[in-house]
Amino acid sequence: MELIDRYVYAVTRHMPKGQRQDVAEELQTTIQDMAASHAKSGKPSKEDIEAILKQMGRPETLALKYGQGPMYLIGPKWFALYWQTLKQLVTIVPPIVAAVMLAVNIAQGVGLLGAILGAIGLAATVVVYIGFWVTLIFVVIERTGANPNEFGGDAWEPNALPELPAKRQVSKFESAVALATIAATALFAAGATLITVAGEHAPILNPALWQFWMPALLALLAAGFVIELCKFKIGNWVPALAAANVLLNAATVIFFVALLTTQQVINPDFVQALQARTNGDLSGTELSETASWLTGIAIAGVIASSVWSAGESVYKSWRLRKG
Amino acid sequence: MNNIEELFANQALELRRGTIVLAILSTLMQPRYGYALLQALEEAGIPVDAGTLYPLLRRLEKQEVLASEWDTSDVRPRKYYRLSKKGHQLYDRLLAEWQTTQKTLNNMIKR
Repeated sequence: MELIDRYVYAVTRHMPKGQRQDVAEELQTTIQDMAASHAKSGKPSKEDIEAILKQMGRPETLALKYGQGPMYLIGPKWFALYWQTLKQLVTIVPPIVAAVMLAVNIAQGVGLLGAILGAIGLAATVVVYIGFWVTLIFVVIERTGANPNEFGGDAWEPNALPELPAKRQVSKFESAVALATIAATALFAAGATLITVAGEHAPILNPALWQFWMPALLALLAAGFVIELCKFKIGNWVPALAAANVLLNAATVIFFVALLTTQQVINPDFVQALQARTNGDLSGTELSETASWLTGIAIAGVIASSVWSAGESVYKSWRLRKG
Repeated sequence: MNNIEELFANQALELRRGTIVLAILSTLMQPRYGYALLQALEEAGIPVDAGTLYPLLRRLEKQEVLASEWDTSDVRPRKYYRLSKKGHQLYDRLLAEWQTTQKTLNNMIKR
């Protein structure tokens, strides 16, 4: 019968003190009774006992069944919200992180391949972190006994339903182009401020911009990226989206006007090298006149496109509410 | 997970899960000890896993649906289970619910 003792010990050893003895005694008697009826006649043999123990199952599993908690991490109540949150975070955060990392890597002079690998590596790490923390948080929430409905987990806006493909205001092509443009702008800005074109002596745009303006630009582009994703997902200019778009355009205008009027966007080193190469044919005043011209055109362009974008979003949002 | 055996097995399990507490309560109208309960259920055609029954009995006891006593008269001390007052109330209500469900389902099936 030592086998039975060992089994009972294995089941009960991690149980709280109060429960342990009671369960142990009951289990002992039960197994002996079961073995006795299994034996059909006389004293139960070792084989009888082993058969019964096998039938009872793994001691750890049985101990778990005696336990108090639910035998899952995240149950049906919270799973939908958990999965939705996880999907949203994993689709939005890692790409942004990768883009920023890519830019930073290039800024630090890492080669293009290394920059890309580094960005992908960081994005993968971020995915793991997001997975871990979101899961952990929901495991804890599951055990507080709270209800998703109380937190607006079930609240949703019928207006924000995705449009049927034919009826969308925002075409998928438009979204693809916009996202690609944002990515290209980020890469161009990073590259132009850091990479020295073959034959020249310095990057075209001023690397000093990295102290504040470049990160600010990247943040602006990241915000634009997020808005484009929302635009793509919802497909229509809901008021919140239009408002966000207007704000973004306003911020873009302010940013560029401030940048172009107060900062040396063109790299002074580049200008110097250019002058040195043309042996002083280009005078300082000619260059600064050209620069002012270009600045003016750039500012006008930014204002025009921002006003257009903001106006379009507001108009379409109004049309949406009307129709 | 689509062949008929598995589909049936899953649904049959759900049916058993839904009715096991009622079966236990009705059997315990007469106080029994654990193993006798197991045998009674098996004889009645409701086989239950020992590893499922005992933790369930303990849970019902914690919910004050069952009450227990240790019978030390025998060589082996045995734990006896019986319905508590709450257990009787629960049984009455569950039984009524079961009968209503039966009637409703039967009516629906007859059509």
